[in-house]
Amino acid sequence: MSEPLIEMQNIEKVFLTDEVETHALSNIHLSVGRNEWVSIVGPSGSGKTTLLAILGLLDTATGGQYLLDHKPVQDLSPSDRAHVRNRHIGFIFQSFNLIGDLTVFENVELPLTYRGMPPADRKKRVEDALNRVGMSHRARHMPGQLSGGQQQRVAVARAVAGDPLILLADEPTGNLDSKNGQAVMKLLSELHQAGSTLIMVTHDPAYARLATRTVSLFDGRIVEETGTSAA
Amino acid sequence: MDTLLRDLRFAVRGLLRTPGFTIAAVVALALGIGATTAIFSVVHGVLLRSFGWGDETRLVSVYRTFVGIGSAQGRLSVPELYGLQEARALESYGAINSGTAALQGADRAERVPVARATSGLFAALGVTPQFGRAFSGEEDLEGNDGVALVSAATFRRRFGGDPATVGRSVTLDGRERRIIGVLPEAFRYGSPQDFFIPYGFTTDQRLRQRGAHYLEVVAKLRPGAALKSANEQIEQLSIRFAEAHPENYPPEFHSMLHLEPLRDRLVSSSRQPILVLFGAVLLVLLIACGNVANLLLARSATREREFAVRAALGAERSRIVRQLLTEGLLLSAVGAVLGVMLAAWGLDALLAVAPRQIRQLADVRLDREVLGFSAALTIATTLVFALVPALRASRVDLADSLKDGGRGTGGVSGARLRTALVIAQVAVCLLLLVGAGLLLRSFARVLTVSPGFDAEGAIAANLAPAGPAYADPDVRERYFERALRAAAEVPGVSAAGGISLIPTRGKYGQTYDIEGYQRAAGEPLPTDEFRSVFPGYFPAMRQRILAGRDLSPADDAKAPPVVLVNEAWVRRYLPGHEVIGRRLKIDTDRHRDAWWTIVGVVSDAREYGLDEPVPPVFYYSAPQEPPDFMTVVVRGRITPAALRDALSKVDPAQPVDRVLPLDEVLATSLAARRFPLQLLAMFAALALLLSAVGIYGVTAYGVAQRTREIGVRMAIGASGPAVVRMVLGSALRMVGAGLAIGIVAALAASRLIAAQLYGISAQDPLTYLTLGIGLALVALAASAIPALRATRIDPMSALRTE
Repeated sequence: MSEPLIEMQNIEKVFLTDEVETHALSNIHLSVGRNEWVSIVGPSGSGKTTLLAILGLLDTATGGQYLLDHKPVQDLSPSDRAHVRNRHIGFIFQSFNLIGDLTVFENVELPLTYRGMPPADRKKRVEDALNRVGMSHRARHMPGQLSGGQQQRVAVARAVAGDPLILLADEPTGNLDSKNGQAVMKLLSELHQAGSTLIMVTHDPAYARLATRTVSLFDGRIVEETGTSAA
Repeated sequence: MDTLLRDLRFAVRGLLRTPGFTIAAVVALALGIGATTAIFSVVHGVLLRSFGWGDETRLVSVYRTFVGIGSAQGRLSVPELYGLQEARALESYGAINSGTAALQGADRAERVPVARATSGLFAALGVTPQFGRAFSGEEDLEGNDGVALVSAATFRRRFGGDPATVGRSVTLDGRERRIIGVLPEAFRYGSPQDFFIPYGFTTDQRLRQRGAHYLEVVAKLRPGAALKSANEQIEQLSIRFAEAHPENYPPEFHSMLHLEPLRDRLVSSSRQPILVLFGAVLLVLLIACGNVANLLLARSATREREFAVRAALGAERSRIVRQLLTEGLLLSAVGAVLGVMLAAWGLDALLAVAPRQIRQLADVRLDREVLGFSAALTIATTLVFALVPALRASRVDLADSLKDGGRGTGGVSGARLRTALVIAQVAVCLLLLVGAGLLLRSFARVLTVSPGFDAEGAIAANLAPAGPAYADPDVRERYFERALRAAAEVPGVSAAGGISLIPTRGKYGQTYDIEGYQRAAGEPLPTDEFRSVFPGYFPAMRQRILAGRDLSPADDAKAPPVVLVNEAWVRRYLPGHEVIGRRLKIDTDRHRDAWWTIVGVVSDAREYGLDEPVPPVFYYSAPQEPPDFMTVVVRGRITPAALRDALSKVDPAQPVDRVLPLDEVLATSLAARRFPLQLLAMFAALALLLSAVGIYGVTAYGVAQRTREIGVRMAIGASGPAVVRMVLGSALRMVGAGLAIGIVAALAASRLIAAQLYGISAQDPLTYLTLGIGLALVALAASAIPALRATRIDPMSALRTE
């Protein structure tokens, strides 16, 4: 059992819209250890993406406690949250979310520039990351010139270039055909085998089974956990 | 620096990728910044730029008031100028008067701008000639005054910049003058002058002509002297003048000397119209900023996911704001470069139509300070149009925006902001339209005013014979008579006459007494306009003789002195009374304190211009009081060139000046009214165009945002007209709010131009109503395009989007 990297206690998320109160997450207890790969599964509207957004500090929980690498992060200022995202979290989105005006190289470089890293270091890191995903030959291309699978590989390179503590993937194969989907999952497996900690939201039971642990959500609650727990 | 360069590179790439947006934003900014730069160059040139005379804080204008007779900004007489030596607060002082003189060469003469100045003027202004020297005190006096200074521009143009010009001679008004110095390049006082010559004061002028107030006086305060205490000193001095010379300063005149900062004196009449125009052009710039802000808001809405990705990757809010401000600054910079080019071109056009009355206009140019202002304006403009969209864009909902298929566009607050911007644009646009509309209607009213003479088919030409040969009034008179005969003999001329000063060309007053007129207690002697008229003038002008008779050749120097008066004179002094045969007691050079008999009443002419009330005027018979100068007026089928030729032959050494059709003379007199109207109308048109584009943009964006909703409405049975009504309804609600605010703003601001209106109230309801409806129609037209496009939405494809 590895050392816990993420610890969530009694996390709640309530959306208030006009007079309607929606409980997106309730009573979430979750621990994720280093080098663990956790899949989050569940039907649409079960709270998977909301949980991932809170894990990635893109959103804040309404209640509960969230420790990332033993530090409480639920009450951080927006600026500190940006800092944590930049240094400790890598994101892989369903729709890739590459910036269309930037080249492949610049997209991968972007989080490193926010970190204030010197240009020479950035260049080395970007080249390494693109090599890892097999996209170094496309460094000068614009995202629009790439296929979906290639774009997602660039997105993976962007996520790992900063050497984050944790990678968060939201339906990483959702916009890909099966061949490209499998290639991306192979890439994530390689990253996990190389030591990365991964949390992945997916609809696909086959991909979910690649993870070391699966967390099932239903109506905003964890209803089942399979595999080896880190806690 | 690395980050800035990256931001700039991305900004360039992003703007090139969206050429439609970029062109729309740059054109709006170029128009706004260009117009603002052009008008600021006028503000700077006329109101702000240093005159280049050293320590301006110590320079003052000395002027006189005769409160009792309503004279607020009078000039000084020669004895008063010399009397200033008693004012210890003044370090130096001098006088200047701008005018013209005949520059006579071997075979031709031309009239050139020449100023008379005293030696003290150059000392007070701290002007040292670049070659030679300035006037000495002795050269201020008659007999020593055969010298001249030449301006730097004339030095280059006429004398090829040859320093040996100093020592050469020129003939001005028939008198040879030795050039003793060349003034520095930067020196200018009022309108450009070719030469400066001394007054050549006579002993009589210095000691006795205390009542002849014609000197424009400039003084320099001693170091440390405060304006307030200097003013007290100068007022005490004028009290002493009045005590010593009571015959020249009747108590009822309340005569007093005053000081005011020279800059205030020189620019005071231009300040308000120029600042009103500057305010108007800033409003145009604000509308342009509103348009660009709206474009940026719409663009940010489409880039919401990009900002969310940047934020997710660790960009702090300030970092995103900085990126967007860099993009905004790039837009502004490109707009500013184009704008300055537009301003350079527009400034030439603007100065070409500008009235001469605005002093220092010749100094208006796009110089370093103006370009510095443009640079500052570019930054300020960026903050105005880019900051709010940037702050909004940096506040994205990350979780929602990053979802695949997340809403990710604009939101309610963005739509409200865009609507608010359009409301503000409409309000500002109406404000400018009302300003231009009021001035336009005033101008139209002025044009309906009869000048009191028939300007069509008549030509005027100025004659001002100068030189020792014309020092004798009789010689001048004979010259004028020969000129009139020559003019009358030109083939095609049906009538010819002459007068000392035609209407709209200036003022020339005299104090006199009226037989049988009972002045009220404390009312001073009347001071009114007078003219010297040669027979034939009134028929040539088609002014009617309403009572009595016209002046005739029989009213010569030997005949009893006679005058005509105009209708305004009768209304002012003897309404309802018989005036023929009444007498005026007038003190003239030829007739000291003589009684002049009124022999006729002539119809009114608009002496001060179409928009000014007609003053009381009396007309001498010119042979009985020959003027120094005359304007010939001829009527008939002839050209100005033919008239000039005929008059030049009378004495080739004398220039014939300002040979113009009378309707052009009238048009020139309206230049001061036409100039702000033209500019304000141009700004209002620009504002209307920008506002229409803004309304179109917001409506089109709204339709794009509501595509799905419109599709649903159409799917459940909404007809095309119903969709059009819905879209136009939204646009008109927005425009209606803008109009309401605009009317209130226009009512409040219209007092700023109230003084420039004629025959119309600043709250004229017809103007407000017409322009409000007009603006609403333009808004309707701008909204109709997206409204009609909305009816072509295919419900099926609209419902598939999302």
